[in-house]
Order: sequence, then C-alpha cells, then structure tokens
Amino acid sequence: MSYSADQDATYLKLVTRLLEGDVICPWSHPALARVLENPDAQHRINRWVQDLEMRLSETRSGTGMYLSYEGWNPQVKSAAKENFSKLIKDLRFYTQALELLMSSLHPDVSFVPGEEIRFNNLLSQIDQSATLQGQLASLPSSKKHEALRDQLDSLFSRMKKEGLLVEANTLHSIYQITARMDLIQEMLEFIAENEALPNLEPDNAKSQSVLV
Amino acid sequence: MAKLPNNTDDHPLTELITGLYKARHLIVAAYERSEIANDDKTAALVEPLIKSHLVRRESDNRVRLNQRLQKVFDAALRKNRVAAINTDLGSELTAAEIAMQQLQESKRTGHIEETINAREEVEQHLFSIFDILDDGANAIFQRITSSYGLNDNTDSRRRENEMYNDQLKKLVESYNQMQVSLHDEPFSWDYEIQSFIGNINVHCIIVLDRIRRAQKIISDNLFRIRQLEDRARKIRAVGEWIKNNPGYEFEKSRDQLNKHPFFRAIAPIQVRAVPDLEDPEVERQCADMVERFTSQTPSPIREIKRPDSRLKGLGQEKRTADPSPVESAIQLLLADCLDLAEPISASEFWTTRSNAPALRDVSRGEFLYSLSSYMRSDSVIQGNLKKSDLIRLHFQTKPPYPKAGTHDLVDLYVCPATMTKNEIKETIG
Repeated sequence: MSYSADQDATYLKLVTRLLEGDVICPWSHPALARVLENPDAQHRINRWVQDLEMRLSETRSGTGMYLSYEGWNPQVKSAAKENFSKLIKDLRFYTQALELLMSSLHPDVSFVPGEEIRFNNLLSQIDQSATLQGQLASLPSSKKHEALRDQLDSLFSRMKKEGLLVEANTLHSIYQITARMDLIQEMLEFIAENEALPNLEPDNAKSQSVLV
Repeated sequence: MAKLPNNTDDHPLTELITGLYKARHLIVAAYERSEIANDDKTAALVEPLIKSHLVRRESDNRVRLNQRLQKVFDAALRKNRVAAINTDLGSELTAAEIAMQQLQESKRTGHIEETINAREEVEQHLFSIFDILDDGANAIFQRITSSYGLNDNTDSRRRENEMYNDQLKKLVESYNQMQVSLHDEPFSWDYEIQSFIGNINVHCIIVLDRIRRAQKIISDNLFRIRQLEDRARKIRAVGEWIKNNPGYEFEKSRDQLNKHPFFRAIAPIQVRAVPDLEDPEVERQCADMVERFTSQTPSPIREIKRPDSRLKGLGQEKRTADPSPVESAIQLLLADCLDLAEPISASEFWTTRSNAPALRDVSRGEFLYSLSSYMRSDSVIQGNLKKSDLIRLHFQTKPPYPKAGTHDLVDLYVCPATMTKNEIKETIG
C-alpha cells in the first residue's frame, strides 16, 4: 500500500508519539487517533514494532492505544515493576483527585473518556461545599496555593501535564477526560480487585434497581 | 405522479384543517402552553376545535391541545423529549373485533355498502395497531440512538433506559397476545381480512427487529452504567484503603503485573533521526555542513578533559539542612536497632517517646507512615551504605476477621538487614 507525503508525515508523528509512551485517543491527539482507527495503520505499526518486541495495546473502553512490550521476559518484568512503583507513588494523588472530581460532578459513577469538565462549574460546586474545599486543599498540588481557584488551577495543570485532561475550549475553560485517565481508573480497579478491597458506596448513591 | 382528487372541498376533514389553519396562532400558543387573548374573535376560532376534541379549554384565557395531537407535534419537533409510548394494543384489537362482527353481520344481510364500510373500519383498526407498534418502537429507538451519551446526569439516563425497556417489553407482550387473537375468530371468518393481516405482519416483523435492537442498546447502556458505578466504588475503596493503611505495599497486585498490558507499557524512547550515509546526496550535504562549520570556527576545537574542581572559596557559606524532628526520631530508632541488633517495634518506640517534643504532635499512624516513607527513599546514610544495606522494615499485619482476604496494618518493625524473615518472625513471636 502506498501513502502520500502527508499521510507519511502523520504516520511518522504517530509512531514517534507512541514510542514516546503516549496514549493516543481522539481527545488528546485527534488527527493521530483518526489515523490509528484504520486497521491497516494498526497492522503497519504492529508489523514495524514487533521487531522491537512491542505491540499496540488498547484501553478497556477501546478509546485509547499505546505501545506495550510483548512477552514476559526479565526486561519486561523490570519495566512492569517500575511502572507499578510509579503508579503506587502517585496513587494517593490519583485517588484524591478522582474522588474530588467525582464527588463534585457525579458521586456514583466514574469518568468516561471524552467527558467534558467545565472549570467554572466545578469551581462553583467546590465553592458551595466545605467538604469538597477540604478535599481540594489536601491535594499535593494545592500546597502552594490558598485561593480556591488557584488550587483548582494547579490541580488541572498537573492533570494536563500528565495527559489526564486536555483543554478542549480555552475561552470557556472546558476540559476533556483522556484515555490515559481511563487507564488510570482501570489501574485503580485492578488494584481494588487484586487486593480484594471492600467496595465503598458514595453517601448519596442510589443502586440500580434493574439490570437487563 | 398520482393525480390528486379535486373534489375534496366539501369533505368535513377539509373544513377541520381549514379551522386549524385559521386558528394556527392559537394552536401554537396552546402547544407552548402560553396565554391567549380572550376576545370574541378568538372564541369563534377556538370553539369548533374544542367541539372536535382537538383542543381543550383549561381556563378563560388558556387552552391546551389534546394530548394525542400534542404527541404528534412533539414527535416532529421535540425528538429529544423523554418518550412515553402507548403499550396497549388491546383496545384497538377489541375495536377491530367489534368491527369484524359488524362486517360479518352486514355480509350475512347482504348490504354491500355496509360491508365495504365495515371492512374499511376493521382495516383501519389493524393499521392503528401497526402504527402504535411502529410509533413506539421508533420513538424509543430515536431517543436512545440520537445524541445519546453518558456525559450528563447518569442517574436520570439510567431511569429513562429502564423505563424504555419496560415499555418495550410490555409492547412486545401485547403484540404477542394480539397475534394469537388475530389468527382466531372473528378474524378467521374473512379470507380478505386474513390476507390483510398477513401483509401487516410482514411490516410488523421489521418493527419487531427494531425493538430487539433497541432492547440490545438499552441493555448495553445499562450494563455500561453499572460498570461505571462499580469502578467508582473501587476507586473510593483504594482511596480509603491507602488513607487507613499508610505504607501498604499492595503485594497481591504486584504479583499480578503480567495480567494487565498497562504494566508492560514501554518506557518512553526519545526518537532521533540518524542520517543515512549510504545515500550520496545525504553524504554530500553532511560534507557541506562540516565545511561550513569549519569555516565559521576560528581555530580547531580540541577537547580538553578536566577533572571537576574541588576547591571551595574561603568566604563560601556552608549550608546544612537540619533533619525534621520526626526524621531525627526515626534516625534514633534506626540507631537503637543497629546497636541492639534486634527488631524494634516502631509503635512501642512511639509509645515510649510520644511525650518527647519531637513526637508530641505526631500520631502513631503518622509516625508509621513517616517511617515507611523515610525507608522507601533508599539513600546513603553511612559511608557508601544505603539504608536497605543496614536496616529493613517488617510489616506486621492481621486479617480483620478470619478468611477476610485482606490484612490490617498492626505495626512496623525496624530490623537489622542481616536478619532473615524467619529470624525476624521468631524474634517478634
């Protein structure tokens, strides 16, 4: 199959991003995600990276793709341990940030990739609740700030830096959840399942009465 | 193109439509539930519509549309409204049965015109049954497939989905019951009606297929919401756990790292282009570049290796950071452990020294967490020796109840690195 110069440039950018460890999703990299939607492009990348003992992996929701090692040799084990240690190091931040956002927006459900978060709406929600203000102040990103807006701004900056959020509309401060955030949620689920942690209901949770 | 009939001016429906057109502003006001001007002219326009049950009077200056007419307009204009559908096909079926008996009676008496009218009536009721089925299926299918997402207010979305599912179930049940009746008396008395029912059934099969697809979408949506709720509970569970168990190691998850591709995610690789020197054009460009740089550089560059300077200015201020009080206490605990060469309980250490200024404001949990964090940064503490070369931590845990599958943190023991796990367990008891 032949590709045009533009397609090749996009493809090169896509491969570079993947090798740099990015999770490609329609919200973080719209143009690259469109290319990656094509099974031919996936096949081409897989064929290319298989010599590096890598392959494309997908988030559980199917919205994000990233490169992972194939097999389970000592080198991969060591990389896995390092990834796990990184996750554990930031675990407190992730859980606190997610709990704050969920409690402010929808206490009984987690986030879906692509979901919009309006900065000002969130700020006004937090402004109305002393509990949420306490949660925000206890985040590591809030340490250097006293004003509520600055604290939330700092939290969003960190989440943007880590690729968990992208700014969809600068004028109205609308952000979107990325597939990387979905992946972090998946990891927390993984830990809760493996450690058999007791599930917790939010205060105002209503259970689903019927599951079809 | 079919030729339109031109003698419909005297038909009562034409009169009704004309009446509706004349009162169009009033009908819009009624549809939007806003006030209307109350004068003789409006009264004259509204009265015929009220008599034909298209409009109902609410008060002196307000009228509302008949709900069936309202729904017809809603279906065209407000597709995003929550859909409430008619799930009862029984009433139309009963009406069709009565019309069928009238048809049979007129056939028996030999009145041809009455027979034609009765047959038309039966067919109209059968069409109504199909319309109820099709409208309901369409309304719900549209609602769940157009601009449908889980982005806002999941709880109301879920309740809406459950309601649609109930309605579709009732509709299908009602259809199945009706099918039995349509193949029985009085419908089996007339061959033409039977073939009419056969034709309608072909269309119904398409509608039923749409209903099945709608049910599948609803089921997927509800399952998805259920998954999101479950995930939210698990996120909270992890948050709560690390709050109550500082320093917890998540050993079980660590043992399962091969189960999820995320942990195999590659370490970022900085990609740089390497020139292909086999290509003559690239080689020429590289040579040009070297020549250009050489011409810009006044003298040849020689690499001089120098060892790093170890000199320090006489006036240079020496800065040392004092360890925090808790860190000092931890260092004291480690020193005790190395002196005694046996495990020391961090909780006991905290209890015996909780009145000391360093630990006065520090709770037991905070002290254990600080100790765990201090040990995790495996820095050099003596000569070239790291913390882990001298000291190791032992986590004493117990299940909250038998066979719980989880463990609560009881205590942290600081042990000499030379002791094995078994020796530590024997010493602690």
